[in-house]
Amino acid sequence: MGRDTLHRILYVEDDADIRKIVSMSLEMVGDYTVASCGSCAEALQAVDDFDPELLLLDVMMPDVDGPATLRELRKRKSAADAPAVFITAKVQSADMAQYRRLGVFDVIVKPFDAMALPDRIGQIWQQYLSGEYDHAG
Amino acid sequence: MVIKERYNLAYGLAGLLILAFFVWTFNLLFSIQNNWAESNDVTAMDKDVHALFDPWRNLNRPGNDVLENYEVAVHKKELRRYLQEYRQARSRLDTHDRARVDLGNYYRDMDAAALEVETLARRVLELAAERESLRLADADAAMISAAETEAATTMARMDQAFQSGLETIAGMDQILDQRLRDLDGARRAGFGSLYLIIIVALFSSALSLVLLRRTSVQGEALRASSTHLNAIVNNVVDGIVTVDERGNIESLNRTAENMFGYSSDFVIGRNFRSLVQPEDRSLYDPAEFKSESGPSGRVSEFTGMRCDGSELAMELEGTQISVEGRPIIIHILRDVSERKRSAKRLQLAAAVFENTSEGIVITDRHCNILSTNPAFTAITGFAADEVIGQNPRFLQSGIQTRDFYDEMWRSITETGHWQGEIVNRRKNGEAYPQWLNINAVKDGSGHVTHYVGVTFDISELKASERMKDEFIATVSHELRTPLTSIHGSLGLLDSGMAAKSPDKSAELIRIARANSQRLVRLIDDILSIAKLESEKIKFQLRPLNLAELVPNAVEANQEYAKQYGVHIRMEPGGDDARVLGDKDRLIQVLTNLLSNAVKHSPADGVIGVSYGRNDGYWRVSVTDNGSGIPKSFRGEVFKKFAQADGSDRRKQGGTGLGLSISKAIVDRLGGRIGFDSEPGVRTCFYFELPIMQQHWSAEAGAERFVTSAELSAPAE
Amino acid sequence: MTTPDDIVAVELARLSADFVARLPEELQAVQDGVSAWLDAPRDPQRFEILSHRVHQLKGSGSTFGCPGISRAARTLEQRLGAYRRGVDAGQPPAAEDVESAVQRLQNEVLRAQSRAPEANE
Repeated sequence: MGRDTLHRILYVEDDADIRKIVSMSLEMVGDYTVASCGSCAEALQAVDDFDPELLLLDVMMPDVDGPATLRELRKRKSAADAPAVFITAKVQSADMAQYRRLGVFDVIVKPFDAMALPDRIGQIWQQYLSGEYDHAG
Repeated sequence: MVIKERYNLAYGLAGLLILAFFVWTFNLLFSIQNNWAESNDVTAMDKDVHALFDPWRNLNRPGNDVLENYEVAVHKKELRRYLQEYRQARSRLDTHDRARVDLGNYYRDMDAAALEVETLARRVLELAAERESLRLADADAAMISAAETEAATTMARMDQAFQSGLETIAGMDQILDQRLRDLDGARRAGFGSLYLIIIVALFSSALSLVLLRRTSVQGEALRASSTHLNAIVNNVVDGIVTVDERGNIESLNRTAENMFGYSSDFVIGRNFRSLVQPEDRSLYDPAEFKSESGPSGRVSEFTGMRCDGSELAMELEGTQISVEGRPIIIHILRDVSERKRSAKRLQLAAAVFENTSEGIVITDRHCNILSTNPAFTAITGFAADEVIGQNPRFLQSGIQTRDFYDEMWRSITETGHWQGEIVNRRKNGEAYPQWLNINAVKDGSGHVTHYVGVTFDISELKASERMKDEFIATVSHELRTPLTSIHGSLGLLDSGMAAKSPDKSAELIRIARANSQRLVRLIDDILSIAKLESEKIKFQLRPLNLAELVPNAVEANQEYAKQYGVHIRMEPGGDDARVLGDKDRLIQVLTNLLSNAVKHSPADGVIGVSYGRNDGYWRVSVTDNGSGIPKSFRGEVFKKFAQADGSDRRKQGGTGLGLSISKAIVDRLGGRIGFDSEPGVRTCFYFELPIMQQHWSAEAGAERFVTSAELSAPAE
Repeated sequence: MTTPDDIVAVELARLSADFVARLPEELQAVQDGVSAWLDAPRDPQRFEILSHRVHQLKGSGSTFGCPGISRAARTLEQRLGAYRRGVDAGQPPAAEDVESAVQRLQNEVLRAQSRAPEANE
């Protein structure tokens, strides 16, 4: 199922600046390969070729939001099993339950420390590997 | 009737006799009393007079020695004088006695005279007392002897006089006795007649009683039954009034008296119409109640009139009967004002039930629906006949838990009411939030008979609450996003990660700066809109000329437009387009409209700006050839953070608040803001401000406007 | 044929229109006066001039058919007085009261503007 180290992250975020910063951070600090997409459409275009291992999605996006994008991505074989992480400005317990149902593993709250982000992703990956995560499929 | 007369006669007779008895007795007693008093006085006076002369009698004892005699002579001299005076007094008395016949005067004068006598006698006694103390040891013998002779003769004469005095007194005594005897006789006679009166009175009373008993034996049964009847008549709840053929009142029962506020004797003999309000009087006709067989059963309603003129809503049932050959009409009157009031209250309650916008459900104590109002149907979609007889649980949405309903029921059974928010389901399946208030209705003994539920649809309230929550969520998200960028980029720069790549560093710095600016703009806009909405912004109203303002704003935004490859064209307009407004705020509005237009224009596009009159307003229009505003979005255009195409916000640094700020400003300046849009062709945003009136005065040298009235007035 | 009533009506209409036309200037003067006075609330002269102007506005407002202006001016006059008394007593009250009264006057002036019949050109 999962490999020991994480390499490829599919990142969907509509705000260009944040996208740039996060990509920079993940690539430069975390040494990951990041495919950053500005919308659900872009993500669907890129997902099959990219074959991501982890999905990182902003929740509040115009048109198709994070959860909807995830649902679409889950339809693709390349992203069906990958653990997902949401980035959002607000977290409420009701939302968490809903996210879990979608197979979201964890949530990162905005504003976050871009420098610490790679470590955080690493932690999440480790947790996933250790089997604590139970993807509903 | 005959019986009644006999009663009257007997009573009258007895009464008269008793009255006479009392008068006579009183009179007699009064005179007896007087006589008693008088005779007592006479006796007392008698005693007094006798007592007065006792010392004299004592003085006239034979065998006293000379000195004593001398003293006595002296005394007697005095005494003679006093006796003379006394005799005079006595003669006066006699005169009085003869002169006055009246017993009262006699005794009165006697009294006065006796007083005089008393005074004189006292004086005698005083002198006697004084003389006793005198020591005549130094007295001259000659004087003594002369005195002796004198004394002897005077003594004899004194004795005579004294004797005659005594006789007069005795005579008076006799008269007094006679008087007393007379009084006694009168007293006895009085008593005699008193006894006579008593006997006569007793006799006549006995006679009357005998008479009465004879008639009462006959009327015993009748009286008993009439008392019975009276009791009934006076204690029924309804008023009973009997009238004759013409409607003249013959009797009123107690209830009727109370109803109208009259006592029967005041009203008996008057026509029944006088108890009816003037406007209803013509409706009353005693002839109506004639019927051959039994009560007519006709009930009519009319308005009665109380003694104070106030109205009394009544129901009248009349029956004609025949009593001893005479027709009598019996009216039974019922006060229906309370009933009418209750009916009115019920009407009102029913009107409220029908017309209120709150849904009402009434169930029996088993929670089966008995009735629902139109508002209930409007809210839930269920008609009344669809739900009657059912338990309201068909409204449940399934959103509330089992515990919720258990708690609701517990509260109702324990306290008789519950209220709270609940989500129910309409007939069409839609779930909606409402505020529900349930109350148990109890009867007199505290048992529940019904439940009443009142519901308020709070979906709108919830909607606005939700909008507020969404707004707050959106604002916080909007603020956090640029913060993330700033924080992130500075963090990366700080870590030295980008040090190797100057391009990346430059990029990060740019990001930090751009987002800082964005944050500043956002915060500004949020504060603006908050202040505008709470009217805390100070406006400086001044006359402004749009002819200058608008071209200036166009100029100022030309550079910005150029960045997007767009040109703004200022259409020519009049020189004079004065409005009253706040310059800075108007520029803010223009800038907002222009930047929106620029963002929505296609590349190489042209934006047209113009101003012109429209009714009483100056209208400024900004037209672009962009994608237009989709129909679905039209209602949302001026709302906060609303953007048809969300990508604008992020890509072009808009805050999403511009139009709502512009609207707030224009509204505040007494103007209007709006747009026309043909999707895919063009969009025109405009705002209008009231035309500012020109200065009238000739002194300022300004233009003078001539009214039509002036034109037609004769020249001065 | 103009009756005396017509002439009076015309005059009144002219005066009313004149009044409304002068309102923006008056308003400007009041606004400036309020700002200047709030900067130096102990200056009696500034207060006198401002108060006088507001007072006149109150009177002429109802004369020329703008009762709203009259009411707003009256409120402003009261608030100015209260503010001055507070300043004299050493406890200046909130300037918001005065400013909101100015706002109200602004609203009334704007309303009068939009209601006023247009002058014919």
